[in-house]
Amino acid sequence: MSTLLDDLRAHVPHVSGDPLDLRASARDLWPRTTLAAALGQPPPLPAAVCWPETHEQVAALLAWAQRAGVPIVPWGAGSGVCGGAAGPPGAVVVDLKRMHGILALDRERRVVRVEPGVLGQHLEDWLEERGFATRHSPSSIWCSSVGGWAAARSAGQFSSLYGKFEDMVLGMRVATPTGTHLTGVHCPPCDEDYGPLFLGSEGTLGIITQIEARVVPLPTHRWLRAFAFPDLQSAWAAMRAVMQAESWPAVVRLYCPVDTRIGGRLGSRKERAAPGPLRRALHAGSHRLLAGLDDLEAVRRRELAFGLAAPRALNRIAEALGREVMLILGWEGHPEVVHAQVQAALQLLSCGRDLGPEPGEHWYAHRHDVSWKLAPVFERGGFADTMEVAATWSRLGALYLGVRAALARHAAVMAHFSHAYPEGCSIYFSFAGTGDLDRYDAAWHDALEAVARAGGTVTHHHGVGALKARAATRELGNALEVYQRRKARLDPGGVMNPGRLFGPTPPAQPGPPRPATPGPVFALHAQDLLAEVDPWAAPEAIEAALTRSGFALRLRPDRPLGAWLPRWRPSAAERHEQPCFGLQARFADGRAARLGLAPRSAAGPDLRWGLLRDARAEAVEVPLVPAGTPRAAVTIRAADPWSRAPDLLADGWRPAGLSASDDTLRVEFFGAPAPALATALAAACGGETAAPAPVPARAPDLVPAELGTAGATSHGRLAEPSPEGSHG
Amino acid sequence: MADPYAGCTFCPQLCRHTCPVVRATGREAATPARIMALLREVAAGRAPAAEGARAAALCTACGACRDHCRFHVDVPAILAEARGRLLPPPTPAPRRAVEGDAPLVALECDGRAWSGALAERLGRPVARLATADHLGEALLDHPTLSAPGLAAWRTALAGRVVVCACGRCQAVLAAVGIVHTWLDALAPTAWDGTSFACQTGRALPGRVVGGVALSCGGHGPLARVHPELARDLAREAAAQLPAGPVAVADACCRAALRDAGAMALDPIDRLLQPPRGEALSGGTNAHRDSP
Repeated sequence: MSTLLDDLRAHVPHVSGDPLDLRASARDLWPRTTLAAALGQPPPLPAAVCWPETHEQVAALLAWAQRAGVPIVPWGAGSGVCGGAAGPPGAVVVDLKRMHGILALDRERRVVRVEPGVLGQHLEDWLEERGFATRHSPSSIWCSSVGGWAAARSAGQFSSLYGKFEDMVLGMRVATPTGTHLTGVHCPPCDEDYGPLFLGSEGTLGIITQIEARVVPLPTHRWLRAFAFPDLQSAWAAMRAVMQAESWPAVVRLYCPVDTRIGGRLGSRKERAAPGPLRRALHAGSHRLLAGLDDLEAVRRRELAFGLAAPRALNRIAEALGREVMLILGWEGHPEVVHAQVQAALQLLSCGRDLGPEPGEHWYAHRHDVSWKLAPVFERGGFADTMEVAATWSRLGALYLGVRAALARHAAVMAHFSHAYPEGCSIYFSFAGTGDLDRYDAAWHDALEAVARAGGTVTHHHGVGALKARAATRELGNALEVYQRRKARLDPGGVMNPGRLFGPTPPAQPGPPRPATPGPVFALHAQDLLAEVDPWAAPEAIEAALTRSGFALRLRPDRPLGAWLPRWRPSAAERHEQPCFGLQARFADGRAARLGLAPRSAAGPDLRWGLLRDARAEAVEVPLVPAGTPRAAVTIRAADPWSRAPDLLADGWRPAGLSASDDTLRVEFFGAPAPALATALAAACGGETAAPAPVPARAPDLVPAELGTAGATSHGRLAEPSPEGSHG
Repeated sequence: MADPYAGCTFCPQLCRHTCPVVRATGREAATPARIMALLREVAAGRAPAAEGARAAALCTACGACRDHCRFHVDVPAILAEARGRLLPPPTPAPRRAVEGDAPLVALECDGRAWSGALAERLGRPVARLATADHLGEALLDHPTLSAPGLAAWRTALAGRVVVCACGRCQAVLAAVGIVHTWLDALAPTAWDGTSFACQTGRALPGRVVGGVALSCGGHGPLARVHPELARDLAREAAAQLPAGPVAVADACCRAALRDAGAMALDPIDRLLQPPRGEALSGGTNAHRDSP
């Protein structure tokens, strides 16, 4: 042992073999290990914990670990709920919390540079003092780190507007056992950008030592409203309509019937009362029971045990209470923007019953409170866990019913729907059962099988860890090879967080067959606003085929997608755009891989970009817009047009596109709110509304080096000013 | 609740962002949840008591976790009870007698003599009480052992008003119920520079920097049992301060920040400052013979 500590101290000054530190870093917040510890089964201990303070220390440490064959477990704040940071016995935990500097804030570019060990709330407090925010607000913000956000593809409660954290990350510096990598906007143009690979790699490839993330001005205006719908189906339809109308709400939360009733959110009991004395009595009794689940301090151990021992009965009682559900929607930002977006959305919610602002405002004020409810369940001998899956709209119902039925056999279960996107949304199941590891394992096994059958993704934002390693491996299929090739280069010794993220590789399978229908449009998924197209067809041909069906491409490349997509880079644009949703490609050996089951899956890194490099694309799922989607533009005259852009964005206007010519900045809006937004912006900035531009000849901004050669950029991207401060 | 540790053990660490020890040191072992989990293991006989004792001392007793907790779990009190059981009690320093009959008593706890300067400032006599162990503050975790000493202080200081400039002494005065006041409240001095507000909750006028999250490490069991970690807190706090002198209300904070390299001045420094015309060097060290 002394030799190991001495070796570590040669690279990192702060090292501990103290049992206090080993015990504290042996587990994260995975409920299974919490349950096991409560049953007297503590997790295995690491061999040492160290706290590097600089990137150089991390790099030296990983290089040593590679040579010595010592497993490394990167550690942020240990808030993962999938066992991703609970390493094997004898590992060295690398705790990043001494790298807790907030290094720089670029107000003009709206970018913050931060070290990985900063706790989320500390970052938000620091930014708020300066008038900014990431608006990344996971329910773990009090107990999670920025590095962990990146490593696990975290999502916050406002992701429908601001995206997940991976959408906010513009660049990173990452130390791996074989070297240092810069990603995103800092990646050298000729290198493969490993950014998408490191995001979601959960410490299995390297350690993130610096993150550059976009920030937004603190929103000046917020509007929250709740609506009741007769059932989930009608509520899903309303959610989808709102998301696909380009109204960009920040908050979208739909509660299942059980969750709706637990909060007593639908109005007075008189309004909810069902006919007949028996049903009224059931309502009254179940309301007391459900209120008890909301306030477990008042529930005694044996009462909870009684309820959780018969989950099927408990779930059936809950289901019988009714089908009405509540949807909370919220917008925030510039008052004119919020007003235009709200007005556009309200027209889509007419079949809902307006419950006023109180439920949404209550949720906003108490949005972290749910986490307080976990401890009482464990204290009373039960377990509580959550499962966040996602699917496209067309698969959402089957996913919800399948997973709910699977969980309901073992645990009391409820759900809400959030993290909504134009293509689909996430389902967040909360379930509780008796404190029994077999029951816990059975619940998860059955639920993950149900996800696979329904065609969803096994995780939207909690990540994989140990809990879902096998399921994630199955979900990725042959695409896993993209990760494994790079893993072999970056971590040839396999020291980085072994046993996490992916399970044993199954035998190679042929993969999906080639598309059977002739192109250029193989399939149209109208409900999801997605189309599966030939990546080598001319965009004009694809557009013409889609037009005949009443749709258009959301982003318009100037070359075949197969050539355009590999060169795509994230930029400092306000919007988080996804130029491709799903991808099917074929390796040289004939095996095929398919990615993109669900929006923003966190089942490991985003391997689409690597798959495009390693294999030949044969089908791409691209986002669509309905033909006739309103567009509007505003032109603003200025001697240096790009100089107006930062102020415009700082004020909270969120255009769909920005472009500039000699003395004109052109701002484009898209979707139902577009006309109102253009009118409001023109009035605010002294600009002029203009007719929407014809389809531009150039592709959206790809890399900073390309900007300015034609004097104009095209739809969909904000150009990066050059270091000298002028565009081009 | 029969098991005082269970709530925190199973909580997803929702208070950890408030803890100054975790913030400065990065140690998971210092989070309230992990300390409580370990104490629960100790109580169940599954972990050594010595580990529990050291864990229970990874705390400055600032109370930020309690204030943030929805259930207001009194983590400092639970840890104090654990320390009382698990840690050996400190040996109290010999008790000194109050020097002088004046009703106002200056409590000198770090070797600086300031009762005379206070008397001159107020224009009336001031008695003096020197203490080498902050009136036995470390014994507060051991109520049975501390009771006789506290009773003795109550007797010795009955009918008097004690002037203190240190939170550790103030904790004992408050525990005993002795009437007391802070030096900066009794003899305020003008200050418009940077002031450091730490977990004692006191800050002098000026541009206030700090808060509970930025503890100087000078207080609580951490300073007694884990002085090296307490120095980490002071370094973290000092690094957050702007350049130049900074006023603190508390003598222990002054000492901790000075050791970390900050130019900290407390009310005693201001009281003892040289006459007008001489530069303020950052405090004097006019000590009497050590008690």
